Order: sequence, then structure tokens, then C-alpha cells
Amino acid sequence: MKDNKPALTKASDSKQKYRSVHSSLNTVFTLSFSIVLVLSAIVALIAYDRLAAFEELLDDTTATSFPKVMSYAKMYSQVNELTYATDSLTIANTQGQRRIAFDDLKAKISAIRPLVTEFDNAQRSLIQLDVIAQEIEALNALIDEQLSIGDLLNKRRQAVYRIHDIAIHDEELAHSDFAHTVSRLVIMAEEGLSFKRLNRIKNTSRIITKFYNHSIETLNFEDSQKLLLSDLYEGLVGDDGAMAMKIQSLRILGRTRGRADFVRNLVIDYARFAEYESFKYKGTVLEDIKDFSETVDAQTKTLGSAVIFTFGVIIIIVFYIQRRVIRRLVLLNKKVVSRLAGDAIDLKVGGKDEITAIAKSFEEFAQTIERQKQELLKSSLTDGLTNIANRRGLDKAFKNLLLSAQRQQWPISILMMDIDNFKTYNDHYGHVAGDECLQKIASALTSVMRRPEDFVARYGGEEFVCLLPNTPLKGAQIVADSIIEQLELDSIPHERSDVAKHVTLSIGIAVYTSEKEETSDSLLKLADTALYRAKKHGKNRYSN
Amino acid sequence: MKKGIILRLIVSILMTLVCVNVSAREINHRTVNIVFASEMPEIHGNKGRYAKLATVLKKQRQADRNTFFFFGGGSLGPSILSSFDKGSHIIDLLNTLEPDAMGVSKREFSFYSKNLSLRAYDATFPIVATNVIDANTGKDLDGIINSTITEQHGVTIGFISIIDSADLEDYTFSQISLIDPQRAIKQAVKELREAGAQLLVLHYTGYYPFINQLLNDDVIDVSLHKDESYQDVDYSSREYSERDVFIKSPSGVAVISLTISNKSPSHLSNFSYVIKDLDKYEQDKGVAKQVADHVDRLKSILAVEIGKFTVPVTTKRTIVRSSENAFGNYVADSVREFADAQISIINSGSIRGDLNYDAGSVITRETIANELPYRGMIALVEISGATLFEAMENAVSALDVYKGRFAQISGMSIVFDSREPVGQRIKSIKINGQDIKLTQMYRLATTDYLVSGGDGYTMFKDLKKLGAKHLAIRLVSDIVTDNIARDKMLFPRVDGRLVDIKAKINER
Repeated sequence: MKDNKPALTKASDSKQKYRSVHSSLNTVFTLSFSIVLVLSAIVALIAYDRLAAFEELLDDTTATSFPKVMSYAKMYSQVNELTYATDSLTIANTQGQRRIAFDDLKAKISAIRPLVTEFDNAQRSLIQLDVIAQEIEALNALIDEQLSIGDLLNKRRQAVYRIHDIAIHDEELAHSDFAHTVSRLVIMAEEGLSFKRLNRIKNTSRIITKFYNHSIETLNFEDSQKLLLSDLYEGLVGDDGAMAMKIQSLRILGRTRGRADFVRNLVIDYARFAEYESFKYKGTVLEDIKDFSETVDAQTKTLGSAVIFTFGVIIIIVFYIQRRVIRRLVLLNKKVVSRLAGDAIDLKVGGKDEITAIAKSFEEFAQTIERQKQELLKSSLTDGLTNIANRRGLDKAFKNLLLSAQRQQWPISILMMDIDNFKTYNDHYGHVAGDECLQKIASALTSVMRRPEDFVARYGGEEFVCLLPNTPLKGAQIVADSIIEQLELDSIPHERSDVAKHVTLSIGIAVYTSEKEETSDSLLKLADTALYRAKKHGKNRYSN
Repeated sequence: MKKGIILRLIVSILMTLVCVNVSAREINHRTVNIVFASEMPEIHGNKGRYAKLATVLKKQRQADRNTFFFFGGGSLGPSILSSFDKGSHIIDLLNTLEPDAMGVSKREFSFYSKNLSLRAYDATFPIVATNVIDANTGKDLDGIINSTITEQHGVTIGFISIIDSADLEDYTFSQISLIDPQRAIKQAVKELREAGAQLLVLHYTGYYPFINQLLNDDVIDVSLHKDESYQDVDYSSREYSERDVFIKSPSGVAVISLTISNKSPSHLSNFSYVIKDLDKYEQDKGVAKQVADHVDRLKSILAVEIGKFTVPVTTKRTIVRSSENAFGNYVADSVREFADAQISIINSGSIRGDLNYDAGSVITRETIANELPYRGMIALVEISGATLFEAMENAVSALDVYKGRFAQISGMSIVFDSREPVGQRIKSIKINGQDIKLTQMYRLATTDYLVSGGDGYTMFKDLKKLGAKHLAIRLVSDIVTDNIARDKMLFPRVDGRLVDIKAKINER
């Protein structure tokens, strides 16, 4: 019980110590794994979020932006085609060409209209498209008029040439004033018709009139000739004659060209507008994509940094755990193994955590075990009553002494002792007194041993043995005398002894000399024999 | 073929002989009437005077068959409709009015010389430019002639036209070259006299003192010109001959009467002219309908409402061309924003409404077409601080005559002193409150017209152009229209980005 108390205090101490460091490693592990978990979760979340956003944009781009961009591009290209189609209408030389070009234009405008309604600014775009359509109608009408006037002009010319043919080809008339007048009028008219400027044409008309009037007044023509000349004159400079047609044609030509230019500009404006809308939309899409890719870039960098950071943190944690836990555990293990092997190593490891606590516990356990082991060892070699070596202690000590005596060439003296009349003592004084007597004898023997190497053991019930290393017979006899004297001095009363009034003992001496091979048993037997002799010779003495 | 040509030649010679004989006998003293009109770019609303001009012409032609009609140009642009058809409708109307010839002025190059050439082919009358040649070929512009002789009932008039060449850089944009007007006139007169012109009429724009001498020396007989902005320009130091016909109001038309004889040299007598006010005449129905047809064409497009002015705004010519203008700021800001530039410059000459808008005025596409009739595109260039100084000196170099070169700007603030001599007027140019550095490069948004050296901005010609695809597909007017449509309510204002020290002192 007495021994348990300090152990208990120690246990409660270590418990306290354990408690005081309880949070340390736990915190390290919890914190480390939480950090790793949280960082990994953040990285995973960012990655997922980016992926989702990218998918969304991709969906949006493919589903909305691309078709719209294509639509704009299509409108732009169709509006552009409109310019060429307008040119075809402008340069139409025949009614057929005009009709084809006009139908083509109408078809193109109808194709553009639904495209335009889809877009922003649809209202404004449609108004402009309407104006273009209206202008194309007007241009078509002008070209129609221009071609009709051209036809009329040709008809007038043909009529003039018919009269001219009559005058020239008729042989009778060929050299007449009539033929000359007709020819001159026709040639003057042709020159006038070749002019591009109104005032020159008008001047030519005036000259023709003057010449005609002058000819009619001064020359003699037949009535039929006069009629033909009048027709010719009317056909040339009359209100709807060739000259008037030419003037009208020139005016309409100017107007047509102006109109065509105007339509062309409108269409080009429209094309530019369409291109700009397309450009603008493409721009917003590109801008969106650029913004997004910049964001993705930035986030990829963040993600990269997060991954690197997480990785770094994990490495630091692993390194920390390795240093703080693994290395110390390995060290502790090594120390424990060494300690087990019997090395006197302190099991302490640095720090203030569970490992320190475990090391301390190990240390405490080891110390307890070692102490108990020694106690056990001690108790197994010692006689519990007399507290001197027992028979096993004697055997062990004797073996060691023999070995060293053989090495050192020493003699060993063996004293085998037996208490005289101990049975009667026991009977007379009781067992308790008997035990006390044995204890007194043992302490008397021990007190007689002068040298530390001298050895005393309880050999049996009332038998004792002394081993005196490096002691010859003479020395043994002195010791035996000393023992007998000491008992006399102690004088433990023994009323029933047949030898003396106090407790005595008989001693058998055997001496081991290194010259002879002897075992402990044989030596003890020799000593026992000598004891027998001492008993026989009257007890309370020694024999050899 | 050959036979035909020879025949035609013989007849022509015969015809000419007949004519000359006739005139030799008849023309001793003949009264000649000349109607002169000019600078009529607009056909819309009150400014549209072609139908009234038709009435005047009809009356004159009925009264005297020897009536010549010369048109002075200044009309093919800029205007609402011409921004769409580049002047075709004016040619169409003139084809009806039948001028004997048309002169050319700076505005005929509104859409560059190539469009003037195209219009010349649409015209049923000759278009004359005596001191203009094609910069590339060194010859007359395609379709344009150096001079012309026109004839009415045996009276022949030689017509020449001189374009204002005081500021040669005004034309650098248009790939034309100008030759010395005096030399050009003398050369043309010689040719015309040799070709039998009885009377020589010179149309011109600008001011040339030597014309008085030419009139006095009877090198030419009559000179014609018009300045619809007469009241804006200081004419006090200019002198004109009595045979110089000068129309000083936008609605003016000159009717000249004179007698010629075939006695050289003093063949001209009884010269007189009156300036009539077209606005006092009724419209000719036929021409009025023709005008209406043109006007109606864009009606639906132009009627589209795009926004409102929430504050009073003016685009009066003399204001826009001499000081910071709220609308000009809006246009310049829009241009800068669209091109994503640091600064922008637009010439005030590109703002042409000449109108006052009350607060709450509705802005339609017509408003924009009227204010910004040119088809200018944006150009993005890189400009050094030094060149920017040079450009701004140009901008403030002709304040007193209200030239269109005055700049409306964005992204910078400029202080100038109009009392200083030309070339030393710019006091500071700041961007974000910092003085600009002469060697630093800035991104400037402006118009293709100015970048090609128009309005005296010759220093822009060699600037490095920064490409951007969208710039090529949007006109300045489109961009402004887009912005107004976006902003809806406009409150453009003057924020002191262009300050004239002189004006500031006057305020005090």
C-alpha cells in the first residue's frame, strides 16, 4: 500500500500533464486538415464556377450571338448587293433589261425587309428601306421614261430619214433644190442632236427654222414637196419633234443620273449603316468574349495561385507533422527499443504535447518496471526471514566467486554452520522465538564478516553458510573462532541446550584451492562432512 | 463614215457663213439682257428660291428673247439633299431653268472634284472654271471647261469663271490646282475674242482689284459676283467698277441690261443693272412641283424625331465661326468619344444651319442634315503638341472674316488673343489642365476633310493615321445623330474650352 501511493500521485500528475497538452496535436491535425479541406473546396468551387460560366457563354454565343452576327453579316451583304443591282437598273439600255433589273431589286428589298425587322433600330431602318424602295420605283419610272423618249426620238429620226430617202433616191429629184434643202435640214438636225448642251441644240433649232423659212420663201417647191418639207420641219423642230425629244431626253438623262446617284448614296449609306450595326454587334460580342477571357485569365491565375498555395500549405503541414510528430515518434521508438535492450537512456523528447506525455509515461513505466524487477530479483535471492542470501543467492554468489577464484588463483573457504539443539529451542521457546533466534544469528554472522566480499547465506532451516574469498584455511579458522566468540557474546539464552546456556553453533570448514577442479556442490558436501565431524566432537566448535 | 463627216463639215461652214451674214446685216445695236443668280444651295423652305427664279427668268425671256442666264454656282453643296445626292437635284432644277453657263465656286467642291465632274455630265449646260485645273493631270477637270461661248439669236457672249484663290490651302483637300487668275482670264479672253465672242462676262468669287482694271480696259465687259454673307464681312476697303455686278443679299438676283454694237472697241453702251428680290416673286408652278418632288423624297427619313434641345442653342454662322459654340462642343465631343481619342477638332464650317433653336426645340434628322450636311468621316491621327499649336493658330487666323476654319474642339482647353497678329494668337493649350508638351504625341480625332488639308489645315496632311475599322463606316453626322438618339434630351453648353482674351476683356 505504501508503494502504491506515490504511483497514484504520479499517475494523476501525468493525467494533468496529458490534459494540459490535450489540445495541441489534436489542434494541429484538425487545423491542418481543415485548412487543406477548405482550400481544396475553394479551388474546386472556383474551378466549377468558371466552368459553369464558360459553358453559359458558350451556349449564349452559339445560340444567340453567332446567329445574330451571321444575320447582321447577311443583311450587310444583301444591302451591298443592292448597290450593284441599282447600277444594273441605271445602265439598262432596253425595257427588258430595265424590267429584269427592277424585279431583281424588288426581290432583294423584300429579302432584306424581314432581316431588318429583327434588329435594333428596326423602325429607323425600315423607314430608310421604304425610302430606298420608293426611290428605286422613281428611278425605274425615270429610266422607263428615258427609254420611251429614246424610242420616240428614234421614231422621229426614222421618219426624217424616210423623207430624206425619198429626196435623195429619186433620180429626178436628186439634184433639185428640194433634195438640197432636205439634205441640209437633215445634216443640221444631226449635228444638233449630237450636242449635249441645251442652248446649242436650241440654237441649232433656231438656225434650222431660219433656214427653213428662208428656203420656203426664196425657192420654188411643188406643193407635195412643200408638204414633205413641212413634215420634215415639224419632225425636227416641232413641239414633239426630234430636237424637243433630244432636249427632253437630256433633261431626263441628267435627272436619271442624279436620281441613280442619289439612290446609290442612299443604298451605300444603308450598307454602311448595316455594316456599322453588324460591326457594333460583333464588337459587343467580341468585347463580351474579351472581358470574359480576361476574367477567365485572371481567375485561372487566381486558381493557379490557390492551387500552388494549397500545395504549399499541404507541404508545410506535412513537413510540420513530419518534424513534430513522426520524427519524434521515431525517436521515441528508438529510445524505447534501446531502453528495452538495457541501455540507460532517458526517454524524454522535447515539446509539450501528447508525444511528450507518452514519452513521460513510457519513462515512468520503464522506471517502475526496472524498480520492480530489481525488487523481484532481490526477493528471489534473499531469505525473507533473516534478510541475508538464501540458498539460491548462495548458489549464484558461489558460482561467481568460483569463477573469479579460478581466474585469480584464489582459495575460497566455505563455512557450513548449524545451530546446535535448535529443535529443542523451538520446542521450548516457540516458533516465533525460533525465528527471532535465526534473525539474531544471521545478524551476528553478518557482523563478523569484515570484508565486503565475504558472503553469508541461510542454507537451510537452521543452517548457514559463509563464503570467504581469497581466504586460506587459517583465515577460515579465525573467522570460525570469531563466530563462536560472537555468539558467546550475544549470549542468546537456550535453557535446553546440551552444550551451553546460550545458543551455539557447529561449523564445518572446507577450502577450495584452485589446483583442484571442484564444484560448489562438492565443496558444500565437504563442508557438510566437516560440520558433521564438529557435531560429533561435541558441538559449539569447528572442524575441517 | 468619212463621207458623213465631210458632208457635216461643209454644212457647218455654210451654216456659219449664213449666220455671220445675217448678223453682219442685223446687229448694229442690240439690247442684251443678262440674268445672274448664284449661291442657292438650299431648296427647302424659305431658302428655296428656284421656283421664284424660274418666274423671273420666264418674265425676262418673254420680254426680251436676247436674255442670257448665268448661274454663279455656290450651290451644289452643302445642303440637306446634297448630302444625299451630292448636288444632283440642283443640276436637275438648273436643267429646267436652262442657264447659258454655270460658274464654279468653292462649294462646288463640297463633295470633291470627282462629284463635280459627275454633275457636269448630268448638266445640259456648260460648267466653267477658268483658273482651276486637275492637280493630277494638269488639265481641265473632267467635264468642266475653261470657258464657253453662248449664243442667243446671234448675240455671242464669252463666259469665264474665277474661283476665289486668296486662300490656296482652301482647296488642298480636293486635288485641284489653281492658276493665277489674271493670267487665266487674259488667256481665256484672248481665245474667246478670237472665237468671236461679242461680249465677255466674268463670274468670280473672292476679291481681285485687278478686275476693275480689266473692266476699264474693256478686256472684259461685265463682272458678276454675289456674297450672301455680305453683312458679315468688312467690305469698306474694297472698290468695285460700275460694271461690276454685286449681289449682296441671299435673295438677290441681278438683271443686267446693255446694248452692244459691232463697232470695236466701244461696243458696249447703256449698261445698267438692278438687283431684284426673289422673295417678292411668285413661284413658278412647274418648277415648284419639281422642287417639291425632290423635297418629298426624303421627307419620311428627315421627319424622324431623335431628340430635343433643353436649352436655347444657336448655330448662327458668325457665332459658330468665331467662338466656342455649345452645339459645336456636342459635335466635337461626339467625334472624340466615337474615335476614342484624347482630343478632337472639327471645323466650324461643317456646321451650317445658321439658325437659333429655342429651348424645347425638337431635333429631327432634318435638323442634323441641315446642320451637318457634309458627308465627312472621322479620321484618327497622331499629332505632336507643336503641330497642334500650328493647327490652332490656323483655326484662329481668320476670325474677322468668319472662315469655316475656326475650330470647335473637345478634350482640351485653349486660350487665344485675337488682338495679336496671326500666327501668335494661341496663348495656351491644356489637356486635363496640363499644358501640352510640344514633343509629345496626342491622339486626335478630326474629319477626313481636315486631314486632307482642308480649311487651311495643311499641317494635318502628313500626320500618321491611326486605323480603326469603324471610323470608315460612320459619317460625322451619323455619329452625332446616334448620340442625340441616345441622349434624347440635349443640354449642350459652352464650358470655357475656347477663350478669347479680347472677348473676356470686352466683357469686363
